[in-house]
Amino acid sequence: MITFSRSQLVGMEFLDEETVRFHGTQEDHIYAMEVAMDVRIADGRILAIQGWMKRYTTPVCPRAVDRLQDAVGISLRDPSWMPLVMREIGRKGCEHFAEIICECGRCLDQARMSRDLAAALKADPSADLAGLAKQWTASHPERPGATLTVTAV
Amino acid sequence: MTVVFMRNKVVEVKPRADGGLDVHWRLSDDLIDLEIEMTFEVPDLEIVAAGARVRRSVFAGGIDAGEAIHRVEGVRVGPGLRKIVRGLLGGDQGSIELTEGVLECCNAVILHFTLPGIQLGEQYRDAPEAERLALSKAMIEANPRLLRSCIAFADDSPIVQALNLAREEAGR
Amino acid sequence: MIIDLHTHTSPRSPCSHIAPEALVAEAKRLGIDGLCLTEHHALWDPSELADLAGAGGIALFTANEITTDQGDILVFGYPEPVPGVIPIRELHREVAAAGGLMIAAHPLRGFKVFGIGSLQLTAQQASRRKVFQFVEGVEVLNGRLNETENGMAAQVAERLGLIGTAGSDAHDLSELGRAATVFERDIAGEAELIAELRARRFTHGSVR
Repeated sequence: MITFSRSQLVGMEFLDEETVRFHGTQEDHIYAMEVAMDVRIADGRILAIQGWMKRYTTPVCPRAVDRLQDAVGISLRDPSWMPLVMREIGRKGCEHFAEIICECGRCLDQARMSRDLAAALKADPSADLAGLAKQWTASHPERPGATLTVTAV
Repeated sequence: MTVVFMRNKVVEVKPRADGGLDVHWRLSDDLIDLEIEMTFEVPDLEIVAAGARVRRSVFAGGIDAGEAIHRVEGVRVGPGLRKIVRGLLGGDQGSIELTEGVLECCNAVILHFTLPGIQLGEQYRDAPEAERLALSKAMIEANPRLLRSCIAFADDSPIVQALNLAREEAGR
Repeated sequence: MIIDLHTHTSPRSPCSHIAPEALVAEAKRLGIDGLCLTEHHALWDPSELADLAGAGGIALFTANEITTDQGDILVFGYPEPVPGVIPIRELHREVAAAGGLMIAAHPLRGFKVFGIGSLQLTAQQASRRKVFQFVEGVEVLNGRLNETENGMAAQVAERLGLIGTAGSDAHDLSELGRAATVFERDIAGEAELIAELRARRFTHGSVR
C-alpha cells in the first residue's frame, strides 16, 4: 500500500505577449497549498504572487502567505534563483510554497517552447516536431539544462 | 483563459516486504513524459536501485535518463544530498527534470518518515496548552534543525516564543 | 587550547550568516583560543587569515568542507581547490598523497522532523557505511546535532578506531562554540593541528 504520495500540477497561461501567469498546486498526505504567480518573460522577473495555504501542520504556517511577497522582484533568469527562493520563501516562510514556486519557474521555458511548437504545428501539421524542438532549443540558449531522449524499450 | 502548458507530477512511496522502500515518480507535460523508479534501503536510506524511462519526448536527442540515473546508486539520503545528486547528474549541464525527479523521490522518502510524527501531533490538537508545548519542546530538542527552518519555527514565532518563556519560567 | 574545528563564514560559505570579523570577535568573547574556518569548497589564503586574526589573539586555521558522493568531509592539510562534488575514493587518494587528514562531518545527521532514532539505525549498521573506509576521523560532537546523533557517531568512531573530533559547524553566531576540541598543547599552523589530531592529544568540550 502507498504510505506517502504527493501530486504537483502546474498550468500556465499567457496574459499577453510579455507576461505569463502560473497556477501551481501541491497536495500530499501532509500539506496542500497553491500559488498563482505572474512573470515577465523578458527578464523572468516575478511581478506578482498570491498563495493559498489549505492544509498545514501548525497554526503559524498560514503566516507564510504574507512572506510570499518577498518573491516579487526575483528573476527566474538569476543563476541562483532556486536557492534564493528556498532561502527567502522556504526558510523564512514555507518550504512547500517555495517548492511550488520552483516548479512553476522551471516550467517557464517549457511553456514558451510549447506555445511556439504548437503554433508551428498548427501552421504546418506535417512539420517535423523533433526538428522544430531542436531548432527552438538552439535558438533559445537561455533555456537551462540538457534535453532527455526517448528511452528505447 | 486557456493554458498553453500543463505539467502533472506524482511521487509515491510504497514499503517493500524486505523493509526497504520503493518510490515511483512520474512527470507528464506537453513536451515530455518521464518516469523514475527507485529503491531505498532502510534504515540506511541508501539508493540501492534507480531506473528511469522517457516514454514520450519532443526531443530526438539528449541524455539517456535510464543510463544517467545509475550514477546515484550508492548515494544515501542525508546531509549534502542536493549537492551530491546535482553533481552526479551533471549540474547545469545535466537534465533538470531528471535531477529534480531524483531529489523529489528522496524527499518523498523523508516525508514518508515525517508523516507518523505529524499524525502523532494531531492527537494533541485539543490537548491543554501545556501538553502541546511539551510536545513541541520535545520535537525541537530531538530535531534541532527545525529551529529557523521555516516561519513556524522562526525566532519570533509564537511556538518558539512560548517555548522560550516556558524555559525561563522553569529556570526561575 | 580550545579550538572550534568546524566553522563557516559568509560569503565564502553562502549558507553562513557570519561575517569573518564577527566570528573572530565572538570567539574571543567566548574564550575560544582558535578557529578552523572550514568553508564549503573554499580555502582561505594564509595571508588573508593572518590579516583576519590581526592582533585579536585568536589562532586561525583553514580547512575545507568538501562534498563527496558519500557526504561531507572536513579536509585538513590539502590546499588544492575542489570545485564540485567528488567521489570519496578520488578525494581520499589525493588527500592521502598530500599527507592531509579527512574527517567525516556530521555523518549521522538526521532530518528536519525525524532523526536516526526514528530509523532505528544501530551503530553496527552505521559502521558499515562506505564513508568510514576512507576517513581517519569522525566528527563525534557537532553543535548542530542532537545527543542521539552525536552519540551514534561516537560509537561508530570507537568501533572503527577512528579519531573523534568536535566542532560547532556554526553558520550563525549563536551556534559558535557549542562544540569544540580541547587540545593538550598549543598549536600553530595546520601541520601541527593535524599532528595533534593524529596523536589524539585532545578532549571535547563546549564554551556555551
